[in-house]
Order: sequence, then C-alpha cells, then structure tokens
Amino acid sequence: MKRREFFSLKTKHEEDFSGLSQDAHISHMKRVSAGLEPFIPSDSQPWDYERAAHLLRRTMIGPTDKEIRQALTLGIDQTIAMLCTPHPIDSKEIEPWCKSEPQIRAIPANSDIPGLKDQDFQTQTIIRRELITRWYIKTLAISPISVQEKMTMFWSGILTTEIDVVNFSEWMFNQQVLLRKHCLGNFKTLINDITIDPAMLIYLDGRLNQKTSNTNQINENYARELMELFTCGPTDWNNAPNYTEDDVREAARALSGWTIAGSTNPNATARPYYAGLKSNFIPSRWDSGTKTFMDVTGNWKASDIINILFEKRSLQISRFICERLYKAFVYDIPDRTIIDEMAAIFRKDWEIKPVLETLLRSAHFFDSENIGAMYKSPASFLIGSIRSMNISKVPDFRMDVSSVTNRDLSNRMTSMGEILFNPPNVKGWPGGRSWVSTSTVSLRHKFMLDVIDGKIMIRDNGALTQFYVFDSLAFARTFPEPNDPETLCMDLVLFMLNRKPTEKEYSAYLEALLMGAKIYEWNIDDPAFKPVDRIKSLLRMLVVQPMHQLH
Amino acid sequence: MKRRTFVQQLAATGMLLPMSLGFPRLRAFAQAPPGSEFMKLAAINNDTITVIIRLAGGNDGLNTIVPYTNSEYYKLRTDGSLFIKDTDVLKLPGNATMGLHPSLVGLKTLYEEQKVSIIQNVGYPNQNFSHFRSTDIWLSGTDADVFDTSGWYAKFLEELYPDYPDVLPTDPFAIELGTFLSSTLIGKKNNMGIAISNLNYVPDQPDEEPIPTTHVGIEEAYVREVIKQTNIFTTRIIEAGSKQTKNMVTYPTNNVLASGLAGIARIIAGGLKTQMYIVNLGGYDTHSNQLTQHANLHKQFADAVLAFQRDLEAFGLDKRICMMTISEFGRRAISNGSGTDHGSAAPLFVIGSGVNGGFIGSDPNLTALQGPGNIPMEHDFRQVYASLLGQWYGASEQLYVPAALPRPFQQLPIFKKLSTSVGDDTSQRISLGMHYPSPANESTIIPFGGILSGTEGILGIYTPEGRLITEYRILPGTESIEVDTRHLPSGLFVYSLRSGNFELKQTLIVQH
Repeated sequence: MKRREFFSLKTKHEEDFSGLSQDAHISHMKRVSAGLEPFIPSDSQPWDYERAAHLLRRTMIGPTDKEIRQALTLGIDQTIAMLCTPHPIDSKEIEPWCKSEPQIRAIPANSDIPGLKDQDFQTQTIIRRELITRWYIKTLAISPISVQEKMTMFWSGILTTEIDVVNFSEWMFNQQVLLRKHCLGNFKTLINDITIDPAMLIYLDGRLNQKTSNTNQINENYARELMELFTCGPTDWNNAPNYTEDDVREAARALSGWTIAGSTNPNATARPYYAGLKSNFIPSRWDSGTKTFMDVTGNWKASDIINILFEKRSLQISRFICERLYKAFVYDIPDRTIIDEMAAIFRKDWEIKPVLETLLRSAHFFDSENIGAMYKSPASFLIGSIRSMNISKVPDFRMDVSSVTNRDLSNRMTSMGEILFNPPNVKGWPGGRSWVSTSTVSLRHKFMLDVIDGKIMIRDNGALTQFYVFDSLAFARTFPEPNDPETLCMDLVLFMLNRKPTEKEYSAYLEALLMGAKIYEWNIDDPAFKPVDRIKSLLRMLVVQPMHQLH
Repeated sequence: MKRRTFVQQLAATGMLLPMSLGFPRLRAFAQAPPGSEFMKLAAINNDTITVIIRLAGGNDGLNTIVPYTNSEYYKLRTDGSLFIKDTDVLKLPGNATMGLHPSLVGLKTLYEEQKVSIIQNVGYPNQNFSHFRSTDIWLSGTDADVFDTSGWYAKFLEELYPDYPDVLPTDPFAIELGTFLSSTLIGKKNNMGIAISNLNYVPDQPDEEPIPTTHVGIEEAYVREVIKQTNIFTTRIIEAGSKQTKNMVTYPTNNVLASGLAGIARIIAGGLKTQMYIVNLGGYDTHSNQLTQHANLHKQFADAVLAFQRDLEAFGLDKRICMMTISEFGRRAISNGSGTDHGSAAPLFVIGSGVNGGFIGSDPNLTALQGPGNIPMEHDFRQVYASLLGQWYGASEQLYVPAALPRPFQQLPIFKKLSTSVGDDTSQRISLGMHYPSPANESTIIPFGGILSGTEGILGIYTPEGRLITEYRILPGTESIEVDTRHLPSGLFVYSLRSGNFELKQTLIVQH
C-alpha cells in the first residue's frame, strides 16, 4: 500500500485538551452510534489491517504482524472461531509439583517422613511462587491465537486471589486450571466452583468460616466480596443497594462449613504435613440454623445462596459482569445501551462464550472510535512487546534456574503495577488510565528504548550479559515490503501505534527512518547503508509516542 | 522545539535528544486575573507539609488504642483470644484507661514527648462496610450517600490553583509513593498530584500534534499530558533528591514504610516545596490471623514513624511536617475467632512537633455498640481534615468549603497554633512587608527583617506562575532593599524571602 492511500480518511481535530482528568472526559464523550449488530465491512469502515489488528490486540497478548495478516486473510468469522477455541496449556516445566498436594509445614528435623525440613521447606515455598509466576508470564508469551489467556486474566481480575496470602503455588495452579476450564464456559458454574476453590477458601477466609456446637466463628469476608465484587456489585444502575448488611451476615452463615480436604498421602504419618488439592464440606462446621437471604428464608447452604443470588439479582449480575467485559475488550467508559443488550444475552443461561462472540463480532467493537483507545496493561505492554517484536533471551523464561537475573521481567511488571497472581487488593487491578501514570510511563519508555538499543545488561553467573535481544533487521524483514521505505515506515507505524499517522506525523517518521538518505538509496540488504541504525532511529521515536501506550 | 527541528536533529545524530527542560509552561502573566493562583497562594501557609499514612484494609482500633481496663473489651474479644493482654499494653502517661498496642513502642516514645495527637472514634454517619466504597468516602470527603471519585485534597488544590494546568507550579503539589495515584489527589478536572516509584529516568517529551475527538484521540491526549507532567516534575524531584542524598538517621530495614519515609525526608531536605505526600501501608484487613499480622504491621508503622520524626528533627525540619493516619474503617468490636470483620469508628493519629500531644475525645463506648457490634462514632473524619486545612495550612473556610468538604466541620484542637505560622522558635521568625510605593513605577522598597546573624536570606521576584526573574542576597542586619522595576512590565508579580527553613511571599504591583 502506498502512503497516499493512508490519508484518504480525514480526521477531526480539536485544539486544546489540557484540563483532562481520569473522569472529566466522560462529559465530552459522545456515544458510538454503532450497536451490537454484526459488523459489516464498508468503504468507510473496511475489514482492513487496523481492524484485524484491533481484534487480535484486544483478545490476545502481543500479536505479530504475520498473525494480523493471517487474520486479515481468514476474515472475521473464522478469526473469532479460532480465538474462541480452547487450547491446552503446557505446564511441563513446573510439573510434577504443580499438580501435587502442597507440603504446608516443615518436616521435623529428626523425622524420616518424606518432604523438606526447616529452611529447605521455606525456600521451596518461595521458589515455587517465583516459578509459577514466571511460568505464567511465559505461558502468555507463547500462547497461540486465542482469547483463552485474556479471558483467564479477565476472571483472575474479578475473582481475585493473592498468592502472597495463599502462599502455596500448588493451589494457585489448581485455581488456574479451574479458571481456564470455565473461562468461556458457564459463569454460574464458575461461581459455584470458585466459592469452594481451595485458594479462594484461604484467600477470603472461607475455610475459617464455621459454626460448631461450641463456637460461632462466622467470617463475612467471602460473603461480602461474593456480592460486592464477584457477581452483582454493591448497587444497581440507579444506585439502589443490591444487598443489605443482613444479607452479608446471613450469606456468611450459609457459606460456612467448607474447608480444604486433608492430604491423601498414602503414608499416614506424612499427612499432617501436606494438604489436599480439593475442598470438602463438613456438616458439623456448618451453621444449620434458618437464614433469611434476600427475603427468602430457609436452611440454606452455599449453593442455595448462589441460586437465590442468581435468581433475585440476575439483571444486576448480568449487567455487572457485562460491564466488566465491555471495559476489558472495548473501552474503559462503559456504554450502557450496549451493555444492557449484552446482559440480556448473558442472563439467559449464563454462558460466557455467546456474549463474548456477539461483542467481538459487533459493529460497535469495530467502530473506528474504539480502535486503539485502550490502555496496555503491563502484561500487554511488556509480554506483548516481547511476543510481537520477537525479543529473545528473556531472563524469566529460563525456568530451570531461580536467580535474581531470572526475575528481571517479573520485577519490571511489579514496578509497573501488575504482579501476576498478586492483585493490589481483592478488587483486582484498577486498569484503564491508572496503568499509565507519571510513575509507570518512564519505566515503559526506558524498557523499550533499552531493548531497541540492546542496553539491558544483567549479571548472569558472574558475567555481565545482554538480555532481551532484539534483532531490528529481522523484525523489519517480517513486514511484506522491507525494501520500500515508504511502505515499511507506514507498516511499522501502524504496527507500533495502532493508528494511521497524520500526513505531518508520517513525514516526521519517514525522516527518522531515512536519516537523511534519499528514498531511492534505501537498501535493507546492504550493511554499508546502515539499515539497522535507520530502523532503530524510527523505532526509538515510535516507542515514546503516546499511542504506543494504547491498543 | 518544533517538530521539524526536532526531527532534523534526530536524523542528524541518530539519537533522541533530551527535551526535558524542567521549566513550567508559561503563560503571559499579564493575563493572570486578580484572585487567581498567586493571590490565593498568599492566603495559606506555604511551608507546612503533611504526610498521610494510609493503613489500607481497615485498621482495628480496639487493638491499636486498647481499652485495657474495660472488661467488656476482653469479653468481646474472647473467641480466639483476640485481645491485647493488659500486662502487654503500653501504658501512656496521663491516661489510666487506654494504652497502646505492644508493637507501637516508637509511637509511645513520641507520645511521651507530646508529639502524638490521638483522635478517638473517628468515622462518619451511615458507615459503609465495603472497603472500596468506604475508601472513596474517606478520600473524597463527601457524605456516605454522595458518589464522588475526586479527592478532598485535590479539590482543595483546584480551588487554590484555578489556573492549573495552564500554569504549572515548579514543584508538584502532591506526591504519592507507589505506582498508582489514589483519588485523594485526583481532582474534578485534573490529577493534582503525581505517583512516583522510580526516580532514575526522565522521558523525552513527545511531539505535539492536534488530536481528533474520538475515544482514541481523548486517551492519546491523556497519555500526552501524563508524559508532560512526568517530564517536568521528575526533573525537579531528581534535583531535590540529588541535593540531599543521605538521611540523618538510620531507618529500620525490611520496612517499606520506612524506606518510603526516608525518601520523602531527603527530598524535603533537598528543597522540594511539595506540601502533601501519601504513603500506603496495606494488610490491615485482618479477617484472620489478626494477632500476628496486626503486630507486624504496627511494628513497621511505629518504627518507621519514629525514625522519620527523628530524621526530620535532625534536619531541623520537624516543625514543618506532620503525619496523619487514615484507614477506611475500624473493625467489628466482637472477634470472629481468628480475626475481626469490617467495623466502623476507630482512632486516628496526627504526629509531629507541631501537634498538641494527647487524646481528643472519649474512650470507645463498648456498651452501646451499634448493629452487629460496631463502635459508635464520636468525630467525623472531616473534622480532622478541616483542622488540617484550617490550622496546619492556615486556609480560611471559604477556601475549602464547599470545594473540598461539603459543609463546615467543627475543628479539633490538633495543632499547636491556630495561626499562619507554625514556627515555634520565634527567634528564627523572618518578616516580609508590603512594598512601597505601590504600585511601583521606576523602583520600590521592600521591607523585611529577622535574618539571623550567621545566616543569609534570598529575596526573589517571580512571575505569578513561579518563574524566577531576579534574586537578591540579603545579609543579616539589613531591613529593606530597593528594587529596580523599570524592566518589569505593568502587572502583578510575587516576591519572596527565604531564610533557613522559612519562606514568606507577598504580591508586587507594577504600574508604569
């Protein structure tokens, strides 16, 4: 494609955007007119590179140029079908321990029970937390064209659990398996399962929630978050409360009695040092009295509470979750007309896939307004850059060694505010504009510039070694016309910044790429022409542009 | 720099140029209307600083300030033995019924020096028990039935600096340590503070380009603004940090709060004029395993606070800085067996050399618990905010009502003086008078006093936006200086006198 074609779409301009804040922009929002009806490509809104890229960028981490072109060829329906097909995940590098019962206390020094003692036990617990986090990062970086990982992250961001509280990584892996299994499945089933998931029973104290003949230790932690954060939210769209404080207490009573199953270790003397991977219900710990939850009285248990909740608050739950879906896939400011239509589909049977497919297929999703309007999370930004730019030698991917070096990427994510398995609190990550702050934007810039310049040197086994290796020449050659600087420039801009540049911007970018050379002099195959310097010069400029923070 | 020039230089050198100049964006000062930023600036203390320590998760008040002579307390906390034994409680001079959690040793020391004000039973009417909703209420300063995601302090700043961000201050108004900016510093129109977790890199300023009014265009403009702010303010913070690279005392290690406070002490000592800092200490949501967790957190908290206070004292800055704790709610009076669930009112601390040490309010009333066992509130948290704004910052009520707080709240006697100066040591006080003649034509005389022998003062003339025009060195013993105003255009300016830790400002009017 030649550069002129890119400027056929005229853009509107506004002079002054100072005075913009996280919320103030709602006031000058106008609604995107396109609705939930299927997107039909037209001359003004064609199925083009930008839209294929938009679909993949919102549904996966760091699609490559090749994958975007593949989606462009496949078409919308086939791409969405491919995205919604589950794929197995590879956990070989953390097996067999990730699937085994966790050892939860040190074996006494003088004992011959199999397992680790004292310091070794503590060290193992810490190392496994590190390994499972790195395994997760790597899984995101190597995942194929699929929405599975984004949806799993979506649910982890709502049905939160912090590994720092759960402590044992085996239960976090167990929960990952559960979330992946249901990520496009049935939401009500997911809620039933997560309620009694061992990691959740630890995180929100469900395992301590009990009433026995001589103690009353009803713990409200899970009951409150089940409603406030996991299903219906605190209030409905008219700001009327969705539940009362009495509902929280009564639900907590009904949810009592669940705990983590004991170890099934064949060696009976070893069992006290291990715990099971399943949960179980102990009737004697359950508050068997009559409860009144949302005006219905009965001898309720956990599943009854979920049934009543989904029946009595189906409208609120469907809107609450669909609003989250909208914010995760379309734009941070919810459009309630669209969400209401989504919610109607969702609450028919609580199946997740149909509502997601409808959204991704819609004219609203593909409207130019929404393309490139979302903030990249640290995962999308860092792991996405690694995946889409084929950055190699990522320290954290070396799963065999635990060392400071191998936590480099995890540490970068931490300082940018997203620690996988460790949301800041039970509400999950705030997302949206909060990802890009005065604190994080400089870290993001610095990482990209250092990668392009090959400047990330880390001490590895005593020797200063370059990590995050980026081959700019090979990268440029993955684009269709690396020997046409005008096309290459436009392709790189579209790939890195997700929007067509204005004519003025484009000429600045082209100048950066050419670095004083004439267009006809361009020769990517001639080292004497210094193509590496020229490509890097453009990339350095692109990665500090505001649009690079968006997708 | 224009894009064209920028690109040409970039092409020539093959590298990005540092574009960060650290200057505020300037607007023609003649346009600054009377009553705008600089006029209001003169109306508040500009050298007092607050460090808010947010104990996130809901701090258990009863196990913080323990009613160790009240048998009802021990009854309520029987299950799981979730009480502090009366023998473990740190007793306080002058109070026979309330003592401190045993981990709060550092706080006890400061209490004995009368540097801790304990305000009892702080909450608000119609307590909300959700972390998130209640945090919003505390940070916004609104009533429980009002939904507002902007913060009380940001709204105060917006009232004080109506021209922001057209006119940027030299130093950030407020700094929050960490990755995210909490709503305390998010105003109705603008972010009034910045979040800082790394000070090692100043990004390049992106090019200006008009932006379309689509969703994507709006977000792109937002990022552009964030990059701009980062650029300007981090330059200043790095500058201040590099002036003072060491603390005066050793801070406890493995203590996130301590390392945060140590950094704040350095940049304040390095001359940063920011008047509000926020640090967060999470983990107070003790539904389970409360005894151990709470003890660890309180130890971190008290150790860090003591070190910070000692550091400020050694720097000679302690009279200008206070600390205030906030937490979204206290916890239920009755235990749940291993912890406590969400509750209501709880005590709050204001700490520093400028506070009146001692208790404000009565012991929690454990025989009049509300609902499922919640402690009745005695003080509205906004009384504390009003006291801070009124006494510590010297702001008049019309500056913060209704902008930051919905209505007037009765102030509490938290700070030592209800005056515009917190300097206790009167021998150090400097003065700065109105210039005469006023308006000035060719020249004007600025009177001042109080420069101690062995020190010196700096008198600066600034544009209303804070850009320095001229500086004069003032030696002890001088009482006035004649300033040549022929080169200044007609309009309003600000002059300031700095000496030691003091700075005073006045308005200069020029009319040719």
